Amino acid sequence: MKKRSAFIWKHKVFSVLLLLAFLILLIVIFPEILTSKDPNAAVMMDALQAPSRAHPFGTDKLGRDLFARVVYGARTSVPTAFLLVFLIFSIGSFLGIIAGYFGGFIDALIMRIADIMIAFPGLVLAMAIVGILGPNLMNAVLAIAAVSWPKYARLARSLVLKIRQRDYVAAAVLTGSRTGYILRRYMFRLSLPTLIVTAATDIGKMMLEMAALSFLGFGAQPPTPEWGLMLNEGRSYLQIAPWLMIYPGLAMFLVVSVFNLIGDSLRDLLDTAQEE
Amino acid sequence: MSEGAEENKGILTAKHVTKQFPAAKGRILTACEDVSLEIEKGRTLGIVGESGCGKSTLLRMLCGIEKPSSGHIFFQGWEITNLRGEERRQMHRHIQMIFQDPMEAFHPAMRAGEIIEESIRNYAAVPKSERASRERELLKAVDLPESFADRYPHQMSGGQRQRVGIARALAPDPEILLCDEATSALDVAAQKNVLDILSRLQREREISIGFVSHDLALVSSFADRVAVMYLGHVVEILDAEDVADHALHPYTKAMLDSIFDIHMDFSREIPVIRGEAPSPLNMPPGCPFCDRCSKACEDCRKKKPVLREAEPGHFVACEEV
Amino acid sequence: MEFTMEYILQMKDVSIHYGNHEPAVRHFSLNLKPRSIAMLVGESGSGKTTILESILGLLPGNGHIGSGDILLEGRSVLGNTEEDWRKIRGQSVTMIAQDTGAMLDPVMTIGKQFTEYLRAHENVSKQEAWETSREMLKKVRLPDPENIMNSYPFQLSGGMRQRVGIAMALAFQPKLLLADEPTSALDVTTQAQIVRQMMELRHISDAAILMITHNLALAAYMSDDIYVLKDGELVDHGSRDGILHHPKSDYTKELLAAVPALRGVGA
Repeated sequence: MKKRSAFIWKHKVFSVLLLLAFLILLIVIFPEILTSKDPNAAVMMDALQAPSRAHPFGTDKLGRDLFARVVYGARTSVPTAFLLVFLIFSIGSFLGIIAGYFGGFIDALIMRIADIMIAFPGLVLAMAIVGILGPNLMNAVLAIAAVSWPKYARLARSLVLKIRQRDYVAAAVLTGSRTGYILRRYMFRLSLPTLIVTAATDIGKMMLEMAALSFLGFGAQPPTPEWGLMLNEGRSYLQIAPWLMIYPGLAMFLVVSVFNLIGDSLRDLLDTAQEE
Repeated sequence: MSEGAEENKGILTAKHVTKQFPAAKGRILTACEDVSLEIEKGRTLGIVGESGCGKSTLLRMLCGIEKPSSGHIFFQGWEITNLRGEERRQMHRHIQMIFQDPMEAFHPAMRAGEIIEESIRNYAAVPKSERASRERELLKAVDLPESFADRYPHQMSGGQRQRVGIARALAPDPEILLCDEATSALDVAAQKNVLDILSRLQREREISIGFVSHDLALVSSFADRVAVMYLGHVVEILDAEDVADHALHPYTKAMLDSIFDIHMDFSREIPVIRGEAPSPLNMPPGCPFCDRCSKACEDCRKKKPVLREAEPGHFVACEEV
Repeated sequence: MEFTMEYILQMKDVSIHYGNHEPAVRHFSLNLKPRSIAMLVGESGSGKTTILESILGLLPGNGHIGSGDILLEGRSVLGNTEEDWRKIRGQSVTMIAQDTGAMLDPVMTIGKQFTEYLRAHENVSKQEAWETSREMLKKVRLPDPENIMNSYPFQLSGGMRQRVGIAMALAFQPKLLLADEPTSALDVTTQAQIVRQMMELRHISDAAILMITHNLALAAYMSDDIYVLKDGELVDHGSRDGILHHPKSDYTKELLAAVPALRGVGA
């Protein structure tokens, strides 16, 4: 207990950010805490109302409560971003570690595929993939995963190439450790800190990419409350109902900032931990 | 399997081993060229040479971490040059290695106990119930208390780390220990301590040792036989006790002259050999040492000298001595 | 009439602390005359490097001199300002590191670094600085100095880089040369070259040398005075003969016993 409070005191910023992230997750799981309204309940009579006591963020063109939609929007954006990062982290790291450790043909094959994926402008390729599979949230996740994993593969590969040269790997081979064990215990375990930091900074970025796809109509479909989609819906009313874009935009800005800052301070934390 | 077993009393033998690495701009770096030597059972072979002479590469080939470009390596007559997969893994248990920088040689996030246990578990020669006692026994063999099992490498001194390294190497009960500059990162006292442990292990377990070092004085006081390497070549092999007085090769002699000894004549100006060792990217066609040698003649520049037996058991690669 | 100082460097009963910890160096005294060579011998952690750092005012972090005094050419350095230090470092007192290669800029040629170093301390033209640099490289017997001036550090061997370091350290004719294990990263044959080099300094400069080494035999060969340190304390001090044949402390005896001897050589 003493240790924990010492940690919090030493890393104040990180602890505050972590608390914020925890609050965001709480809202994702229990949106009812903040609003009792149904985000999809349309009341045409109340369409495009300015923010007021009854509707703190105003209402949209169908008279749905914007505050409820923004709150429930977190439920779409945050879990998909986590899922996405988990996917690209696992696929990319796995392939990168394999490529780096074994080298030769396997390395060439994996890395050339990765190069091809990187050569495309990401969002355009994702749009093409969604175009083929049909627009919905799951396909958008798959599409962005398909173009984002090479970053992890490259990173993991370069880390493994360095780790592989170290004497302790030679020692592990000599003392009879099997390849699977070396990949797990050495290659994966020792590249994990760097990969995790990258993943943490990617959560915000992935959220934005998902929102971008939804904004373009390739991601979440109406009536799902999703920030990118809400921005798109509010676009045509920018002159008369600016709150339709301001509040979803603000929500996105806040959540993305929190996760980006967590990524940054996590990096500082691990860097100093390694120096010590 | 038993080819080459004939005349060998050597337990580990290298025959005409060459190792080349591709370098930038299509050039070739020759780390070892036509190296033949053997480690005898229960004895210590010291391999001495200066940085970049290929002694570490040779050692890594002897234990199978690197594969030679050409040539053969035999363990008790069994050719182990190009083993793969499970066969290679089984070979490793016989030939263990101790590394130069003991900090580099351990997983940074593993405790000494886990490090040793990893080695015990891998060949499953020890039933699960006996692993803990085996671990204690190994720590005891290198004079470390049991409590060391809970320490991380960065919580130990250099000498203690190196002893954990020896304990790990002993776990599979190897016949051969190869030491790559195992003491050069240590203080004098720790160095002596590690050497004492190695000699004791050799006595108790009949372990054969290959001991690579840049320190000729150290090697000739610790080893039974000494091989001197220069620029990827073995230039002289002789009994350790003959090094000081009976060395023949001009390079061995130059190294001897460069050693500071507390019994030396301090008024003597220390002789200096001229120039620098050539780059292993530009292997000279003749004797590798000829540019710096006072005895070099025209022939030396053209023809590479081969190891010949100058006296019984004393091999030298020089035509001029 | 020229006024000659009896001692270049005097350390009087110096104790050095890091923060509030026990002193890293305790009551250390040393006297160094012009053109003489003194050696600090001891194992890692014995405080050798701390002593060198204190002479240049370069104690890292919260290191400070707790008691005693350090005199350079008779003047105490304790009250030195940054400006005072700037004049001393690199000019009247210079330092050779264990691996000069690590201190050279990898993307600049030797010639460029050397001339910039000279011009940073002295108001000379590029041309003059270049000439001086080449002259210095020649003095430390580097073959083909012009070629070395145009080389990058990675193109030189460890021994050559170390000689470049010595040349740079000597450029301003320092009164005192500090050397921290200048040969321990080198091979024996190269070490012999550098040792010869440093001993020849007496012919080309008036500098006194204070050098750290862990090699007792090398210390004995080079030095006039040997200081043996253990855990921050001076345990033995004397001439070569005194230390080798009549060591006062058990620790020195241990060190002597641990030096691997070549049977028969020179005995």
